[in-house]
Amino acid sequence: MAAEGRTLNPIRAIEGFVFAAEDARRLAALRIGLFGLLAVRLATSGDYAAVAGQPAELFDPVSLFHLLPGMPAAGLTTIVQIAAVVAAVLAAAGIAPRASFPAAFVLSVFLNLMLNSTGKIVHNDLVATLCLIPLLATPTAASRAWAVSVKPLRRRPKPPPGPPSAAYGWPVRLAMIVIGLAYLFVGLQKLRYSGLDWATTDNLRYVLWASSDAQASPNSLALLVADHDWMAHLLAASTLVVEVGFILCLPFRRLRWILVPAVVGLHVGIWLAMGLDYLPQAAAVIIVFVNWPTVIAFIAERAARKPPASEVATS
Amino acid sequence: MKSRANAEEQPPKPPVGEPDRVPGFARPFVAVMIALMLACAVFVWEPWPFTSFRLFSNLRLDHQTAWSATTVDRAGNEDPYPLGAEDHGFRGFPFTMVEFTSAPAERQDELCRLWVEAAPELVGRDAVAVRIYRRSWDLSSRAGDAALPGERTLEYVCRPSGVTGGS
Repeated sequence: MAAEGRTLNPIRAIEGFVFAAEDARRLAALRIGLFGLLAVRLATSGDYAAVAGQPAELFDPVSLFHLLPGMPAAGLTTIVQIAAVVAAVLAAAGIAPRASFPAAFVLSVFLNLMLNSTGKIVHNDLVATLCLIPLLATPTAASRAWAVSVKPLRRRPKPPPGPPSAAYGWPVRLAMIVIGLAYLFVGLQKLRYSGLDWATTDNLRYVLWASSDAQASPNSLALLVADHDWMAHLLAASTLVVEVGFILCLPFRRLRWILVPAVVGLHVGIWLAMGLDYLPQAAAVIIVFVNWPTVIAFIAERAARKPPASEVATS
Repeated sequence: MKSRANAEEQPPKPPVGEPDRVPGFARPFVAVMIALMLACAVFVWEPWPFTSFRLFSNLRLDHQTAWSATTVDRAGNEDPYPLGAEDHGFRGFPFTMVEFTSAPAERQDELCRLWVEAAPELVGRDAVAVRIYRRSWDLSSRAGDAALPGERTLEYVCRPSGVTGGS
């Protein structure tokens, strides 16, 4: 297994990993994927409208919402939601990136802080949002490739992307680190507050029973696991191993073939069994860890090799 | 002249842009981002979107307690009051109840008045009182696919004037 940045100095190893050269299209894929995901989430969520205008007595602010007297009103929320969707679409297209990137980010954080100001920290879109932060630092580089060119907005034609460079690599690599740390901390907090009891006791069985009981009709997948002691313990132990171990796929590329499907499977399983929508996090993992220019080149090569339909018909 | 002629004969190369440079702030930016994530996890800070990443970190136990509410009309009829419903309730009712149980009387009265007054808007009927019940049950005591209902105890009665104990 090839480790990136082979050196005994950990700081140099991290530097070697973060500031490795990447294709401009890889960074562009992050821009399209993450801002596109944000646009879809913002456009399809009714949660913001549901909490808008909640009585001031129930306002339990977090983070910057401590500056507000109460939950934003429904009208303002609708305007912010529409503006956030428009900004996210423009950012995904690479249009006016210096304005559209921060606008999409700030407006989406505003909307998410509304959900977080009802007494509970909401993590569903959190990792995807954190992965946007490296893009905020590199709007121009992230829009070098695969960007829509709007002529009236440009005095000069947009220069084509340069060769692979660390300028395109470091935001991609920082997004990888963000995801790696997110899983590491989720796993370590379980060990910090529950220890190995998290996997060795009936903890997961109780979680799944409680979740099934709270749903409109019993959840057969949750009950299948909860009713089989060995299955619940195996899944709980696997969850801890995958969460704590995910960060290893940063230096060891080949582990990505195992750990990326493992965490995606974890989120899909949680969604099916418990109805908790962590699919944006799974999508963020796929967007960040898949080398999209390579995938597209592979598909194009396969398509070029395939004989045209007319040839097949006549041979 | 010869070299110029050769140059003119060569096919035009596709334009290649200048490589972008790593901005000077990149290293501190990476360091601050990692340090912030680490600090939030260690000190359990929640400056969203940064977080301590405490997801399902506490052990779930067999014995459970939860809160539910009912409205009481002028005739004394009692009906379910889904205060925590996602679509037409107040988000975070279970978390509000955590605060409610240990809150000073003024805060309890404030919340009680809110729940009584909000009944027409949330469930379409007037209420003269809202009863708050605590349900306790064991997840492992099951009948078929569901846990047995356990015990339900009236803990608080909310009226427009404020809260009283349930007993």
